[in-house]
Amino acid sequence: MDFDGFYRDTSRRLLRYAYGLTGDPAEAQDLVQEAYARAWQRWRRVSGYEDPEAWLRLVVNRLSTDRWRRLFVRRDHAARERPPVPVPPPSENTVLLVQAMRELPDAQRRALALHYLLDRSIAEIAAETGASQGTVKSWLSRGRTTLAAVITPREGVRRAG
Amino acid sequence: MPVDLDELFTAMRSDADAVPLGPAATARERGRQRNRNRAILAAAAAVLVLVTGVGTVMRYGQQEKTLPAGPVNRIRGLEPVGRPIVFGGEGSTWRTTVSYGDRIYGVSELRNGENRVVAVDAATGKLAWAAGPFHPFYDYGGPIMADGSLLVVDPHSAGTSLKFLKPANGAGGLSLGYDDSIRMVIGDGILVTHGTKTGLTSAYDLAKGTRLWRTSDGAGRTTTILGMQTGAYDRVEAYYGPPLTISDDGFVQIGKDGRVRVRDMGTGATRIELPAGAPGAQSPVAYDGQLIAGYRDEETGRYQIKITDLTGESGTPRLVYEPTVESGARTVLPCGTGRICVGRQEPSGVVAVDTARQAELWTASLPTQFTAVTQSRGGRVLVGDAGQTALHDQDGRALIAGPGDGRFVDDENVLWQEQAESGVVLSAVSATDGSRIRIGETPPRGGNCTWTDEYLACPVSPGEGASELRIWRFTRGR
Repeated sequence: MDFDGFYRDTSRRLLRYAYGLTGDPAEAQDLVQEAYARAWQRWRRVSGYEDPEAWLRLVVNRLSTDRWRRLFVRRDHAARERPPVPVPPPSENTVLLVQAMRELPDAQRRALALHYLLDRSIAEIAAETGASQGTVKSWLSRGRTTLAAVITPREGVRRAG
Repeated sequence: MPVDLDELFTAMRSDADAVPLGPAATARERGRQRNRNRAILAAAAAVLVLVTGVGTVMRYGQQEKTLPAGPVNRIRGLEPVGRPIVFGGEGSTWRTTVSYGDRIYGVSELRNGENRVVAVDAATGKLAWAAGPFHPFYDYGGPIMADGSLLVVDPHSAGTSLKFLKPANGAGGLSLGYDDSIRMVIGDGILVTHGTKTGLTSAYDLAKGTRLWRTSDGAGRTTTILGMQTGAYDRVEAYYGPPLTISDDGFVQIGKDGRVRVRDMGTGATRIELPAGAPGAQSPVAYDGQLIAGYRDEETGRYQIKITDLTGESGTPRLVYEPTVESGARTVLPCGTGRICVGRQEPSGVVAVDTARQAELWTASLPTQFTAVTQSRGGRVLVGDAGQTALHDQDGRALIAGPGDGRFVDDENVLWQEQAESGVVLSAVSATDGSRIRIGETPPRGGNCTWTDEYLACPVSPGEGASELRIWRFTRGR
């Protein structure tokens, strides 16, 4: 399998996944570049995997761990590195969802990102995470419940849609 | 009205798909450089420079005084120091820089992929020492500036290590194993580490490289440790670096069950223990004898900010702020005497809160997604994100706002960096009235600039394939 071809075929999906985990376009870009750099380093081995794309998601998972709590810090550093170019804001719905996703434990956030952003079935998520299908169902259910609770419109809050 | 998650995720998907993505060549180059370097190196490293506190027992409630407006020791220009510094021969590139006192520490990435840490005398622009070769630093985010300690994160084949270098000569000191579960606090020449996987908390004398004490509370029982800060709140700047806070006076250990202990850095002795000090705390900050954290109210589901007094044995979280609008408030930073600044996302802005009166003092808004307080000095705050910055005085008045990245140089001056077509425009902004003086322009950057209250250093690319470290002295006057 050719690295460039693999990148072309899969990088957009990985970016979507990283965006779901981080809620931050710049951070998602960086995580994706970092994950593919690591894949390139081990390409002979990674390309032989049954599902190299899943390996990349594992790398993104690891790199994104703690990022929600450390987003503030990252921005501080990034801002010092170079004055960033303003980027168009995301939609109101995405802003709402990003805020709500922050409330979730890592496992639930990953399960929701795989399910909603990458169209993975419960069985596929279970296979990828090594969890039982029951656990995955629980993650999705609890994640949805938390998101709904956080997003449910309250007085003065902008509604989704 | 029920929430339509499908609709929300569809929107997120659409926004994610609109994010520009670099070519495969960029990732290949990043990987290629790392492979090349690994082939060369027996050991590899990234560098963090850490600020240590003064380490004596503090009296709380003495935090920052609100600074009066007055005559300003204004930065009015830049005076070059020495000649632009080129290091490592053709094809080498200056990357991340940090500074402390009269020293600039820069990372030079050589053509063969090796990285060196290079110390430069800021007063003369002359090289002091070079250490390495090291592994490319972007694995752990590169240098972080602080006071007196130089930490190296070394991901070698046998496992990652933390190594301390001596800032005076670059020689190696304390070396420890490291993984992602490690949390760290540094202060008064002491490093405290906690492994959330192992449950071990350990302290080391950084000068001697010896272990001072070690204790265990069982794996997974402690969620984090935080340095207790006083005075101006300092955040350690890290990217991929380990979670690290600065201690001016002991450290706070927060348990999964909400138990909070305040412990001595030097002995590990527990000063204060609060069984219900912070149950469910989110993004906690230890400051001036208090633990400031976000909470989610169990009954209403509303986001709240509470403060726990850590100076007595009976502290429980006390509500100090509940947004009147569910605003996605998440980032909290001490920003003056008895004040916290809360960054919120919806609408984007920052709210200054009087913690004693539990009242909003003022609100700052910027047209960005994640507006947050980036720095605070003497009651004045810089807020911003995504290339926009605003400076607010203690009463919330916006003294200046607009494109660029503003950071305090000292209490009276803000360095304002704004991207231009040919490089970066540098301005000095008065922290008292917001007036702005253009002081220079740099060519495109190879990495971040660093500064003290006297010097500025930037890695720049003045032409194709060229890379220089340039140093300036701030010139001042009224």
